Amino acid sequence: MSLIVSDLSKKYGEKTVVNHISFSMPKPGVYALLGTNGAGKTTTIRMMLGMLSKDTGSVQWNGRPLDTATCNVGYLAEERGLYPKYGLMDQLIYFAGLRGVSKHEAKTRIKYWAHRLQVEEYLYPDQVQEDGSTQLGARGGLLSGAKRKKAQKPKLADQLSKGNQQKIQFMTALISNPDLIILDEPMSGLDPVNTDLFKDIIREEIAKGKYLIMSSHQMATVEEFCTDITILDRANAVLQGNLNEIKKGYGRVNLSLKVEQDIAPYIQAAGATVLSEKEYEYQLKVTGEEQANRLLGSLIENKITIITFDLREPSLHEIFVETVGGERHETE
Amino acid sequence: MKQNDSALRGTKKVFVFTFVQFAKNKANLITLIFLLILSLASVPVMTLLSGGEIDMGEQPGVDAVYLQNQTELPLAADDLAGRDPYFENTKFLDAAEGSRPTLQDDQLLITVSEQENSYQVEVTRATDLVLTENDLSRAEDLAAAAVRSSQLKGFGLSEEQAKTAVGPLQTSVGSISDYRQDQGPSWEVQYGVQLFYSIVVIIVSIFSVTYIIRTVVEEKASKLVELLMVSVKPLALIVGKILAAMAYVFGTFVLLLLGFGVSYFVSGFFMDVSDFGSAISGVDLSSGFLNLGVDTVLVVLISLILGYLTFSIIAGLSGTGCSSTDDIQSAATLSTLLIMAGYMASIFISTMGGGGAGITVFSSLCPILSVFCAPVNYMTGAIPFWMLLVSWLIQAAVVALLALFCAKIYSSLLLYRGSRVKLGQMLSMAKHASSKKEVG
Repeated sequence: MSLIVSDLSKKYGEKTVVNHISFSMPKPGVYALLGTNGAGKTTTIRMMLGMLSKDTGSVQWNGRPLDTATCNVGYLAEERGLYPKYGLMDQLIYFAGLRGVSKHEAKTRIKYWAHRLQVEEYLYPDQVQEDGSTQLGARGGLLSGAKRKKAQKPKLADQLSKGNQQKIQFMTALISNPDLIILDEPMSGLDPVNTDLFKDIIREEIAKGKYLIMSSHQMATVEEFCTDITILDRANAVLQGNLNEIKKGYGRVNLSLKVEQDIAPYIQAAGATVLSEKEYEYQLKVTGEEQANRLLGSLIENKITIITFDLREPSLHEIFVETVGGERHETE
Repeated sequence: MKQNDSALRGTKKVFVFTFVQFAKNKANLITLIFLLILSLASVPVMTLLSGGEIDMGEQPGVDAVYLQNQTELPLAADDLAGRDPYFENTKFLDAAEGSRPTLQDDQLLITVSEQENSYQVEVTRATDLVLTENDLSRAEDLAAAAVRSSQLKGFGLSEEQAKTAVGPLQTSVGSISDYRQDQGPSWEVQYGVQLFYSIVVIIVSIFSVTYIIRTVVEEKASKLVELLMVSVKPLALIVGKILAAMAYVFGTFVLLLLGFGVSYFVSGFFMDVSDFGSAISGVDLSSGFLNLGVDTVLVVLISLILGYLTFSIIAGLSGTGCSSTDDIQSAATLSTLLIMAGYMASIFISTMGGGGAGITVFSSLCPILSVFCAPVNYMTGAIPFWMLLVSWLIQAAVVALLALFCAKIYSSLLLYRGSRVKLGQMLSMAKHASSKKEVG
């Protein structure tokens, strides 16, 4: 399987919102679409999925135009929602049914994902004990006799917190066991615990050999998963390629140094730039390995106790900021 | 064709889900139960309000009528029998002259006497516990007719001639147009049928408008559109949703009719519901001109479905321009106005007695107006079947075009968020889209 996006463009009147974007995924993994707000990430995704018409370009899945009717796609949209007044179970079965999953199979998968995403208490309130543990019968039936508490109805969507609604929406994206998963800002608004939960699930999907496209502002998260990236800025792809290759291109220019004495004179002598300093812990920018080694040599020569010496490539965050311009970058 | 199949894939699932959610909705459920109770109670309540009385189950009310003839007229109790179906289970007995029979609560005594060249009829009951004023009045009319008949027989008339002579005289005033159209249904028949049919169309359509707009808007208002678009095309989504709302409202309407029917049937066991029968027959559905049969029922059903589809898709179109539930009320105005305009025009035309052949043909073929007029014109014989067929074809074409236009606008505005898009803007969007396609 492979995904090839070629020359996608979109204009609204005279304004170009996506300008000839191309990228491909020849093998499973995670591809990241990064960019500032309004750079064209969501529009690109919407064109890929056929929700918006393309002015130019094509999207190929397995050598054929991507058709959501035939390609099993899971999508977590940036604009997220659920029917506020309908039962959660009804909605999940409906969304699964629209993706071709039978009612019986949908129920099995909902049970699995409810457990995995820790939302059983909202979908199966009668099966969750007071201590939070779940007790399902042999066939997933209700508890019987004295143990059964007063029957509770499953929650409606508008009775859930934003984070729990997001989990249900994540479930809808994965319930059809899709081959291609598109996640638009999947972690936004999640607390650290749930962020880790989502990350675990994403890792599992990668391990299953799925194709994931992820759009996010959270660079650390993206960096954790993605192999290839496209950075969009004002409708244009300004940086594109394999993340490791891109990083190599920047060279090892970030030096973290922790010592037990003041080493400002040695840094100055080596010509490195101090980015930050706190209690003899320095973040330095060097021109390359040679300059870093020269500094290391002078520290050893002067018998400075070195606790940490870490020379590394720039982070994705730094690359992003440098690429699109720090002054325009709005963090969330 | 394949593309159309793909565009409609998932319609059934959307339909079933939307319909089930309508049925599960608490507000809808409460409304349905309330309306059902109203329809079940309608006949007895309205009968009581119009002066009817509850019959406690003793049928008939008058067990026996004694006749005491104190005149020279040849009048016996048997002469009273068979004149009024109201007394079909009543025994008629002769009372000996000079003695008064002992009356039970459900028995009457009719005394016929002669005073100064005139006859007098007196009706007496023992108590007012069982028999009503209505029973007395009907017995009085019965005796008066028998006395008059006996008088006429004395002049040499046969039994039948005497009955005809004392029978009721019915009169009516006819207009010139009635006189000229004596080969067709009367103005009253045409107006009654038009009113009856138009009210059915208007109730079903107007009741549906808000439901349809609400259901069309809910995905956009709930920010679910993008998620659904991965699985189902806009055409399938909007068709499934509109059909579900239509089916729900139509089902509710049928349930209410059934409720009314049950109410009428059950009420007949314990009260006189003949006034309702008269009201319904006032529409004169039994008129020979209407040719009521299976074919007419089919004509009405097909016409009703086409009309209902037309107004529902217009309502759906109004809904496509909305981004939030706040816009529903203003969006409903266009659909309601169109329905009302069609209704008023159809009633106006029928008050003119059809208004001549030209107007009849126009009202049968013009979209919107034909929804109300075409089936009635056919039923009353004003247009032949082939013209009705042409009318249906035009309506079906309008429905198809409206559905495509609706799906196109729905698809274009799915991701739009902002103030309500009005019809003029939609038309300009469609025009822009088609010119762009031509260029492309």
